[in-house]
Amino acid sequence: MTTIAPRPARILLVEDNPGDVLLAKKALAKSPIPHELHVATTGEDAIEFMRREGEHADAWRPDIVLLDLNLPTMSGQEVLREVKQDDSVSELRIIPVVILTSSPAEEDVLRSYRLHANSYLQKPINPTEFTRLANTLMSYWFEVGQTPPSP
Amino acid sequence: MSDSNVKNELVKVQRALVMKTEELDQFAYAASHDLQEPLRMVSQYVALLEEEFFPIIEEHAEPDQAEEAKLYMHYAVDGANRMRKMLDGLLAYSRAGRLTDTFDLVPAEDVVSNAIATLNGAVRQAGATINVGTMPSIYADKHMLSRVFLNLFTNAIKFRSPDRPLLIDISAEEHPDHIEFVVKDNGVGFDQKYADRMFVIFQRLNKSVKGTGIGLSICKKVVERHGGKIWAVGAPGVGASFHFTVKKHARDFE
Repeated sequence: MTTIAPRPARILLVEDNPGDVLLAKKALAKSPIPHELHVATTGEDAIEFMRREGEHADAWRPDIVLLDLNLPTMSGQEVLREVKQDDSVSELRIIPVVILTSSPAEEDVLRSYRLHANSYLQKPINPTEFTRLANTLMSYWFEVGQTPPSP
Repeated sequence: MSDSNVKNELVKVQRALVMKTEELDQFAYAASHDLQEPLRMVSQYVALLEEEFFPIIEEHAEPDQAEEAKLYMHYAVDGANRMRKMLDGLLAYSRAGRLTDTFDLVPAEDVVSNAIATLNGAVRQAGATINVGTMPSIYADKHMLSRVFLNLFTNAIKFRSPDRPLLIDISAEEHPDHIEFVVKDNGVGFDQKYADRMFVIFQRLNKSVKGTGIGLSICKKVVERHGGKIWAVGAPGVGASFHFTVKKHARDFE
């Protein structure tokens, strides 16, 4: 038996490569779990979105963040550090951050977990695998698991 | 130039060389790492093109045109896959034999048995017999050197003859200032004319067996980091023997 969420799952995808954004969108769309997706193409924009600053004043709070490591200015690791250090009232640090990267390098895995990433996933090399990964991810966080309640 | 000037000059040149080598490794690492990303786009999107649009082509095009379209997509995906493996190999190459100071006096037998243990399954599957002669102690980085034996054994297994059970002989010969190791097999062998080409990165003499042409280039790099040389002797249909040397004493590096 699955519990139906009262509102769609809210996902923030931080990804600068339009090719990857489309792949992620397509893969997530095949998941049976209803969701809303916001794409931030820079780390700075992602942080603003989470803090509801600037043009993001009406932004929702993401249930999870999918974060690419290789971003143009502020790197994925810097975004991760910023989020996981946030102990302001909004407590961004409790939002689960899932690293989604093409790097299988051990040092990237280690560095991410040292910065308190909640999970580390390598981007698959074919669309079928991408769909499978999206399904597993959605099911894990929104069916089997629980994300922190919205404040 | 006085003796001390010559020595100073030499130290300077040596230092510059070490820096250049490290820079090259960095370059290979960055290249292999960062090139994977656009490559992933190629294979992903060709696969999507096939998945989503091939049915449309199939419906509207002549059967032989549809076949041709399928072949094109296959070559594109196959090329991308091969390139990915090569980039993985480049990454492994850039990391192999990185300058470390884990050189120590180790029994060569440990290094060899370590490599054999890693290959246990493949050795058994190939029905191979491995004979290890008397092994001295050597001054080496045992993980790095174990990789050399591992690659050589893997090659012996890959290029074994279909006509006879594989036999690998490992021996060591002591010379005044170095040890010479020989890994000899009774596999398909190779034409001696091309012996040196095998050690060049991505070069492959025998394309009937899967591979990327990285293994022996890694061996060469590691052996050279140990102050030694590597070479191969072979004959088609008879077998191959790979020889490499390792300096005997730590002071030989100075």
